[in-house]
Amino acid sequence: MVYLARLVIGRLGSSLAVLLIAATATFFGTAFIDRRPESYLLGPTASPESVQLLHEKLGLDDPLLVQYLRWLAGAVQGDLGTSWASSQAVLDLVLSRLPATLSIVIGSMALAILVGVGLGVLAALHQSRATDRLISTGFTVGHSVPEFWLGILLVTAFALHWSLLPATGYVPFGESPTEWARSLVLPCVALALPVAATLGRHSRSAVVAQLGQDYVRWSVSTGLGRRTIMWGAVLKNALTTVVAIVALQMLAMLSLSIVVERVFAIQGMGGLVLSAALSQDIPVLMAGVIVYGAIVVVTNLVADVLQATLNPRLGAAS
Amino acid sequence: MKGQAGRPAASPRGRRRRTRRQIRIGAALLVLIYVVGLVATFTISSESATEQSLTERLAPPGRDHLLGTDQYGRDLLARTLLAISVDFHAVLLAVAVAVVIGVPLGVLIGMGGPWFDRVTMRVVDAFLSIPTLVVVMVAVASLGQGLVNTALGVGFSFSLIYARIARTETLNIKNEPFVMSARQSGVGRARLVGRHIMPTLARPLIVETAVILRAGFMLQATLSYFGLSVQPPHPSLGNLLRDAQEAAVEAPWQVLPAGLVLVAIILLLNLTSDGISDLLAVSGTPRRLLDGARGRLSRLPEVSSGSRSLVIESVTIQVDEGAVVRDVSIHLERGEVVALVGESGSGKTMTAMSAAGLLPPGAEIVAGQVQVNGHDLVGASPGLMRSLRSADVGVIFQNPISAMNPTWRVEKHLTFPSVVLRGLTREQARQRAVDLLGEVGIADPEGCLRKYPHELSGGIAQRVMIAAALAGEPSVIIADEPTSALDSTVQVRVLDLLLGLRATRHFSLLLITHSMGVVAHAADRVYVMYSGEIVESGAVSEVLGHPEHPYTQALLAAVPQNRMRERELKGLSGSVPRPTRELPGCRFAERCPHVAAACTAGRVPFVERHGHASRCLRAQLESDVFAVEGRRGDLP
Ligand code: SF4
Repeated sequence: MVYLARLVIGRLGSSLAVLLIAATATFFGTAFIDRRPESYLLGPTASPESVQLLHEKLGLDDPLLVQYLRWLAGAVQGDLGTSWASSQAVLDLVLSRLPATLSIVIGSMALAILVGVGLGVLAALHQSRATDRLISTGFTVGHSVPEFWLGILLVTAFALHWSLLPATGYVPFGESPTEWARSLVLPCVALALPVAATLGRHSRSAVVAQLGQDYVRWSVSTGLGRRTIMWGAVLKNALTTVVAIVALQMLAMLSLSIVVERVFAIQGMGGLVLSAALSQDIPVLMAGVIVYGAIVVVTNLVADVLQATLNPRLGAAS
Repeated sequence: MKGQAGRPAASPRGRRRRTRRQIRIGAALLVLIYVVGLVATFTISSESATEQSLTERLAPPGRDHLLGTDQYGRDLLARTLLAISVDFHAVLLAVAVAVVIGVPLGVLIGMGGPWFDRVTMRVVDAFLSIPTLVVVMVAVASLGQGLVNTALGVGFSFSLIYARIARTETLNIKNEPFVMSARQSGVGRARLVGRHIMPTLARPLIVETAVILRAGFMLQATLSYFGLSVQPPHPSLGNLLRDAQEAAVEAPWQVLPAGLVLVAIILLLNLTSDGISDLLAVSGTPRRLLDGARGRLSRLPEVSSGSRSLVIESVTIQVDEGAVVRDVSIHLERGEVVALVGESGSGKTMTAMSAAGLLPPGAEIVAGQVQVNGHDLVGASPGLMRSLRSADVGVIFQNPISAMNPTWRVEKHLTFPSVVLRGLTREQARQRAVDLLGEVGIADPEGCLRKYPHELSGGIAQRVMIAAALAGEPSVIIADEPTSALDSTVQVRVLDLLLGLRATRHFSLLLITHSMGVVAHAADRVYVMYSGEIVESGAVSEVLGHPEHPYTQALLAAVPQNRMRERELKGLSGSVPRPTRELPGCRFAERCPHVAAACTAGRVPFVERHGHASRCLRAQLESDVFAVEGRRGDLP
């Protein structure tokens, strides 16, 4: 337990550094663009005085470094600034959008793990037999279907044609838990399938790699049966690799989630970042980078802890 | 034992050929799709694909419009065909940008000092932990929209992946001896990069490019679906899909053409990139070790077993390429320590493992008999094999730490089989584990039970594995080089432990070794194996004192007498012929200092006198007093 705590604290520092670097790079990477939030906030007919006032309020006329430091000072205290496109507090915007994104991402990841890892292990158990070939082919095909096309197909079939599920939109959990669940089904399936295929491929090879290890031969030599060895020994070892793969897939899944949110017209973080990119709303864009980065960083942290718990040798090494 | 191999694995060469074909076909079809797209741009006027016609809205597929028209009355086939090359060009542009930025950046980071490396890699890694699409969004914010701008953004985010690989490879190559010496002899950095680093970089970059192309097509379609890349009304696969989604209620089929083209491109890229990484991976055929553990435990039938606990009789073991163990006979009396000695590749491990039903996948006993305590193993049901392993045969492997399960504590290694196979309660099993650890000379059994394999020294780990082998109270123990992986000081102690246990527990021990020192120290009888055959056998004092076969003589000459020192047997010139090679006569003839014409004329018989046997014509004739006088002239 002590080493787990040490592990978490050690990683926390570098995780925060990652987020800071990414946000900083976003700030200076977009430094040379023309900052004209007045076109959104005041409209084309705004008087020069009111533009001047707005720039002063947002501090846009200060040198870049001063602007950056001001942002940093605010960020440390949990204030991510004001949106240039809507003059709302960025934090409020993020908090209003985050639940939808987290619901989809967590739901899809759970589904992807269930389906992908389950089928991957099944395929490995039946290595080079018909079941394996069937599942592996399924993985290759699933891996090749763009998630938004799948989303469109799902909407067309289940929502528009059969009217089984809502086509678009997200219902907050607090409003109606059942509608919340129903609104998540199609997006989660669309998002989970490609990820499940990738997870499945890698889980299969993780298990196959374990099956060739010396300890498996030793287990066989003690007289233990195939199933016992599989469930009692091999899977736990393979799980360490699988956890690492899941963490890696989180990165891909977040990209995909932005698209799926759009396909299903869900007001999540993806839409926020997309419109911030289009309107050059830098404070919101930076917040988006931080939020998505934070999801990745937290996933990695959880994965590290899980791995260290599963495999004490890895825990000792870190 | 039969059928243990399952279906024969495809030969590696055949698999490689198929993989190459997969790559070629995948790449050819991709090029074909691209060419079709190119031809379309030159034959179909872009007006016909962009001009709206409200009278022809959403026409179903038919004569005039093979795929129908969209909600603006535009021909869907023309739009789909024109979209192909647009997407290809956007992706190729992005990848080109990525290579041009990423590779030099990576080499630069790799060539720079360690401090520079750490700082820049921190930044690169920070970017790589942000989802690609978010990075592209930031790029869009600063560069603006449109095909070229988004391609630049995508190219930038991919360039980081290239940079990372190029940097790693550069660091690796930089420290290669030949590059170091080139640097010392004053070769300039630029030439170093051009001559040594770039060529080695090519391979990993090609593998990665296949993966990146796939991601590129996905991203390109996504971005134009968002309306960020190709601007309407110009067609691209993503634009087509967005239009199709808008019209999905009235004309659901419109979703298919662009989607299927996209799936085809990505599927082909996947097949190609899978093929490339398969080809470059150095994985052999998978080891299907678990196949030997099929079946249910069965009660062992009563049989009369006699005085011999293990009998291997005229056994021939075959793999794909041929026989690796040829007509080998070995037996163990109860309580006896028998050594099976030979160089690696002599077939000694294969022979011994056949007695535990642990032949590697693909190897099969094709002739002869194996009996453990009177039970026939050849053709036995898998369940009987398991029962024998759990109760009659224990195995000790060469490398104890890798034979242990890294996620199990010592305790579970000792208790789990007892609980599962022998129905002990956990407390009983634990108590037994403590006793066993005490018996193998571990000072603090309770403490040891709580340890993980990586926390043990090799010697302690091997003691634990000996204890684990004893858990089933076997009457035969097979030890495969049990001390070769250990420190030389520990070797004797572990060997003496085994001998002591044999004295108290009366099991017979089959000791596989390449060391005559171990044979002299531990064994009662010895079999010498060479290239799949037994070449000499007998009591240790006899064989070591009066070796008959020239191979045994060479082995003994290579080892300092009466010393417990492991040493590779290198006293002979040449190497062991592969056991699978068919040879007409004596298999040792190629290396034998006494070889004569008769030796290679036909199979040399294994002849026994007074319990000491060998397979050498010269030895047999010399020992035969009458024949010696008459036929000496033929002999060396
Ligand atoms: S049979 Fe001939 S070649 Fe073979 S070991 Fe004896 S003398 Fe040498």
